[in-house]
Amino acid sequence: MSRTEPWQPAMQGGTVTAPALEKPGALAALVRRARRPLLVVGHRTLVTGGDGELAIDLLARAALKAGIPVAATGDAGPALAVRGVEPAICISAMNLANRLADPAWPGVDGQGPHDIVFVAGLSYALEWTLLSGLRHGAPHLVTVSLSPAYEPHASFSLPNLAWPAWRSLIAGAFGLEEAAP
Amino acid sequence: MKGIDIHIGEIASPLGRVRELRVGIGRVGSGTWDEPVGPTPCPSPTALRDWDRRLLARYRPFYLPLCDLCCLCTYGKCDLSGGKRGACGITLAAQQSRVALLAACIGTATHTSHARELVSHLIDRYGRQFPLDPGGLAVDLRMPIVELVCGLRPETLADLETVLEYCEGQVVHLLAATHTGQEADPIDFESKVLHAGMIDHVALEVADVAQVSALDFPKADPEAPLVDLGIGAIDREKPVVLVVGHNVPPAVAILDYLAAHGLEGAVEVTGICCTAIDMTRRSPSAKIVGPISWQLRYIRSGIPDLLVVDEQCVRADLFDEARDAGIPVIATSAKNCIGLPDRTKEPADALVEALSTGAVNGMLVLDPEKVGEVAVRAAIRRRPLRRVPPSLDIEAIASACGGCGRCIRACPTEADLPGAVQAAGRGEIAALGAMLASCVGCGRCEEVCPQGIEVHRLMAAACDDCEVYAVRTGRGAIQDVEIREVGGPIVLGEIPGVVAFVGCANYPDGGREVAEMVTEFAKRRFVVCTSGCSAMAAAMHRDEEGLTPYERFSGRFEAGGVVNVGSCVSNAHISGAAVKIASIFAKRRLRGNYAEVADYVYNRVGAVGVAWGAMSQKAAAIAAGFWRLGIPVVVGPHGAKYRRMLLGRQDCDEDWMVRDRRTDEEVYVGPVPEHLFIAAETKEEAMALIAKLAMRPNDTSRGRSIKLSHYIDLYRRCYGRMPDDLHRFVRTKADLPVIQKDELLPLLERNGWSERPIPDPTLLPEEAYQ
Repeated sequence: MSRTEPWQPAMQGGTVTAPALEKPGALAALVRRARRPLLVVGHRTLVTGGDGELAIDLLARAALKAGIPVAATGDAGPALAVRGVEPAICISAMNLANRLADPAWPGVDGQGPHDIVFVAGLSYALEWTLLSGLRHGAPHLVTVSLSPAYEPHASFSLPNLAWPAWRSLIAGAFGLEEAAP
Repeated sequence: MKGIDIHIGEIASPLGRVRELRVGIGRVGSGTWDEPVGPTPCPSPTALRDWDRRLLARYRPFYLPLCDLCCLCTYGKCDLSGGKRGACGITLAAQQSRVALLAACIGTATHTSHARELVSHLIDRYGRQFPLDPGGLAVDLRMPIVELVCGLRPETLADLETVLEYCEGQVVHLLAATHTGQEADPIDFESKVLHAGMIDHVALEVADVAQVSALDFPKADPEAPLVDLGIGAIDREKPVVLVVGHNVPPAVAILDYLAAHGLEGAVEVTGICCTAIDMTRRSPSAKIVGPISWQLRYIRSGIPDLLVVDEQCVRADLFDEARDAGIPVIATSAKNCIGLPDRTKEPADALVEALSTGAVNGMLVLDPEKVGEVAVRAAIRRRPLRRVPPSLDIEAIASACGGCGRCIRACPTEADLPGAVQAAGRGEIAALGAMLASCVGCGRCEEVCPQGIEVHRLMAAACDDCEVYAVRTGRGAIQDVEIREVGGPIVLGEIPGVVAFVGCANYPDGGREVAEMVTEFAKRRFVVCTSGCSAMAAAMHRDEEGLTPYERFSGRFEAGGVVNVGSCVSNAHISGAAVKIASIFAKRRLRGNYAEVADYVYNRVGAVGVAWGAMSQKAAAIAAGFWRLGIPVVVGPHGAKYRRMLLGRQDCDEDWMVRDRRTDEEVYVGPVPEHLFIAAETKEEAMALIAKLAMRPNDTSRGRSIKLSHYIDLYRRCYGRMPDDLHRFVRTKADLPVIQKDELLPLLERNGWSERPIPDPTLLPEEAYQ
């Protein structure tokens, strides 16, 4: 199956689909370009992983390395905290998306609207619909799905990836290779 | 000539003696009901538009398009993305609301049709003048929703026909609004969604009051019997009939036939979905197999000797599955004929013969009484011919798995099926069997497997699920005296809320989460209500002492009670309880006085609906009925596919102003309740949301401090920290939980908090009050 068809193939959305970020460099460029980024970390980062490592381990390190504030959704907050990342906000994903759709919302730290939002670890259907909501309701916002399941409604999405490939791509994009276990 | 109602108790004439003769002309009368009619009896789709817009100004739709396209007319397909309009001029926002209205209309039409069939059948069987009696002496306010919406007080089955005529007319109007070139404004579409929901609850109440009255179901009975749930409860040695669906007359006829012919105990009558609950209301000897998600696994078990299907939530492939399992089928609903020949008019003997000998795989029989006889007789004759499927060689079948992952990509719960199947291929089957607990039973994994592995069947074979659980069968309405006892504490906030777990079984991680939430909130002294598949899911969990929630907690509508009202149509008793609080406790007029009562419920009754596995259009309509009463609804993650949320913005103070009736001033009350419709990601998040959404502007300080303590505790459990929005919910220092005051005050002060008054809150202008 294609790496850039929706992870759940029936979840086709419309006429425009997200370009896939196949290489770490493309994701790294988005991270560098962001002026007011936000990383949304959902509960599935606690169950996705391999070789004794979880997605949340890598994303916590990525957030620290890139200095990106984190919004914890579901029950990801405590797990982030024990990994040294104090979430800027703990909030339900839908509530957060509704605020992000407001171009005047001053962001999780009150410093101004976010320009790019990285999203990972919601259940597939929830992330799919939430990104659809942002695509149509927040044209001012760039959305990037960091989940290992292709999300057609994001501005950019990782393709469908197995754990080793996903780990490698995230680690490469955020410069975590040297610290890899 | 209108409003004529002649009642003759008994008359002797040359033609004979006549008893209880009643002749009515015109609409259902109000008898001795002298309450003045309010401003909106039998409201049109626009009569409550102003109320809707007040709600929707706070809870603006956040659209989540499932599709950027509109495919409804031949102008299209039209691409509505990027701000583009369709050929008809419609926007993407309007299209989402339009689809939401279509879903609500489907749901409302389904319940209205269900109610119509029930009422017609019951009138045929018991007569037009059969009295409505949902609760004996314990229920004086018999149909609060009908009284509120329609301004009518039905007394007989025949009176319900008038109510249904109103519902049917409204559904037609609402559906018409979705036609190309009609409604275009998203908020007007949303207003109509709320109207559909309100009508839905009218139809629900009609259906359940009719069946409770005529079929002798428990009448507002907190001590409704505990009944068996689970495949393990079935005596497989006996002939087994399975009934699937929602409309209970065929199942009742089966039970009645057994009773009439001395066969009680000789045949197992089992059910799936709401019919199952309703038949246990008729006879506690009937067995509930499980919720909607159990259809495939139970049919494939080969246990049923005969399958009877009625309507709603019946799998479209159930006939095929039954045929493959050697189980003959009787379809009983005009809405679900399954392509089978109509043999309603043939003699029962011929039908029994055809089904028993395998001459046919199924038939349509539209006479419930005939179904009752034929199903029992055919099941008895089929029993010796039961084909128990051979044991599967799980390891051999699973070893064919190539690990392509198509199954996990088709699975709504994203279960790691390839890992479990491959482990089973190595002889480790425990993980595969354990997955059945969180499986929604859709079977999509089997549809996509390139090796042809029947994953769901394999899962069921790997799971020895013979548990028997106790579930309290549906009690029906809430007693007036119960409302008198809890109305005050609920309105003052001292009972921290009423939380209702309703709807389908499209759970993100199994029904266990529903049971855990039910138990959690009952322990916290909320009033917990359940219905439908959620009522069953709540039973399938035991505490450390081996008790299900229904064994552990009382069935009373009280703090810490777990109240199973019944099937889907019984949901009207939950909204009805909120309305009863306005009427019985607060003495608000009900009759055709919707906006004032909804304003009361919204500002004072801390009720929250939870549809953790919401799947259907009916669930959409039920939710909309709660929304119009100002009762928020939390759904599981799949609920996002209803295409939009109705979300408040707690950070926008101007959204949370109300009029204080004491001073006529506009005052800030904080974001209570913060949302009207929101999907939660996890159970823990849902529980924090439920506790928060139970807050209301009218809470006393004591009540608010109780609610805050639950919110803080559940929030900390989920997020591992203090809520960052406490300052929005604390009006005075007295609102703070006493033992946390020293810890919380500094947090409030950091957010610039200052005390504010507790108003007599309303969203309505004074002239709206009766």
